Amino acid sequence: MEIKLQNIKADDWEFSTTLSSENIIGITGSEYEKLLEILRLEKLPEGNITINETEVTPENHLDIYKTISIIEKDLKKINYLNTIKEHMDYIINYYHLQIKNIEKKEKDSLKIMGLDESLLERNITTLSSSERKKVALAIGLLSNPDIIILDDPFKFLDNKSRKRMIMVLQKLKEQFHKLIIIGTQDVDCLYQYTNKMLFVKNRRIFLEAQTEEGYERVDYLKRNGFPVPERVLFTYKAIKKKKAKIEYHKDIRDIIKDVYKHI
Amino acid sequence: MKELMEITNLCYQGLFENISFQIEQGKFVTISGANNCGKTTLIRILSGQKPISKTIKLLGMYMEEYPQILWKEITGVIIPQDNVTFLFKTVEEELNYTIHLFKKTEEEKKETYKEIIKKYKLTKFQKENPNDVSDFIKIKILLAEKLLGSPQVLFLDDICEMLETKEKKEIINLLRTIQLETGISIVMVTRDLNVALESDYLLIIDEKKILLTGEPLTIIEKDNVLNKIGLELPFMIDLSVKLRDYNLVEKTELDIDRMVDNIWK
Repeated sequence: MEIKLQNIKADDWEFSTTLSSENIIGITGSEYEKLLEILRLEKLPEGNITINETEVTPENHLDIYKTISIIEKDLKKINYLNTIKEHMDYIINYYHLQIKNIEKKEKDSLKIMGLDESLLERNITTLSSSERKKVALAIGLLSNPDIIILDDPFKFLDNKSRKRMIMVLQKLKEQFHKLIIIGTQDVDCLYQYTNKMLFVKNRRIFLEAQTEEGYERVDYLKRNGFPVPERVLFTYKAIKKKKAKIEYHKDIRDIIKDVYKHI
Repeated sequence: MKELMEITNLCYQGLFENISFQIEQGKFVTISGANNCGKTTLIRILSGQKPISKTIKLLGMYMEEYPQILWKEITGVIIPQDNVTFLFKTVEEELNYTIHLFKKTEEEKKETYKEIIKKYKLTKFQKENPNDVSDFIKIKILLAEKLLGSPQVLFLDDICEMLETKEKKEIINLLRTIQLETGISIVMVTRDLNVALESDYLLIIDEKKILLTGEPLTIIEKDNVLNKIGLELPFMIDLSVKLRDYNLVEKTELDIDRMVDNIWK
């Protein structure tokens, strides 16, 4: 799965980039939500967009738009719908999804997220914040989208649920070659769970880099107002102030081992 | 130390089993736990949204014995997921309406408005629609409004979860300032142990019971227990605890520079 965006112009934004399912992509910066909105392709922006070599045109735009799923920050209750099942049925109808056993599909989509099937009959307003986050992705996956854009997916989740969430996303990427795009200001999650980063500022892509390389540019990021994870700062200061020969690691246990070796 | 609340054998719909604890007056208390441990429900119970009899005492009196008006006067509650809609079209009108309910003279009203704008750093947002501003600004407006009635205790659902790190710090500082000025007690539930670390007292809920209580740093250093229930330690505490296991440092250090100095002397 690959999407090429060239000379895109939309609402004062200007950028070109290529996003592929080889990476889980992170987007950050105070304006990240706007970029997610553009990538959602609800409106066709100015410029050239090709998805897997197929050019997106006004003619095929609607079909392409339906292959993109955006998982909103908070699951919104649709006015006249109450239970999770009603919401799922609505999505299945809306997308004209050809599903043989609807009930099984709905239950399975909850199971993937580690949720009990009894949730189907629950009203959205009775769910906890973390359940709403997981149900949002379960609903988003029903249409079997090729591109999944997630707005702040880890918010409200504890460590166990975060690990489950990232496991599901990794599986979607590796086994089904889905393009996963995560927008958030949570630097720790971006550093640990993404492979490629887009840092956005002033309505453009300010820096595009592999996640580790991007975050190792500590001075540059700080100068431009992007927060840096504490685990990166620790290593950065050890190297800069103490000339320690340690390297950057995502996992704290690797940091400890490295410190132990080089003290 | 004076006791503010006493909760005795709280049971609730299979979510809590015989939970008992006390809250001291004038303290900032946080309650934490993994997803679905009942954090928001507990705030609803404590704040009287889900009334329970013969269980919760506030200032020596059971909650059900309070006339409703009095209860509302001495307690305040903010639960962001209840999606509050502000009634007015600008932050200025919104705040002034609430001020009008609590202050009498024009002079007082003007003075209070000025104070709030300054204290909550809302200068830039006075003419904006309170329903369109960021979560951070919304939380600040809600806090300002709830505190106008000078309640004795403020119950907060996880108001920090929607905020960025910098904003979280500002809200906590704000709560601390308010607490110093008014002596108010604050009870807040949070998933984020970085936030809990900033409080005076921490309770951890797990499996329908209270698992740990005490001074936050002491509790948060129990990495094995917390990891097991699915909570993540703040990075610097996690690092300190693990470095201590290797005898590389002696004590917990929250400052990165000092930590680096401690390791590479």
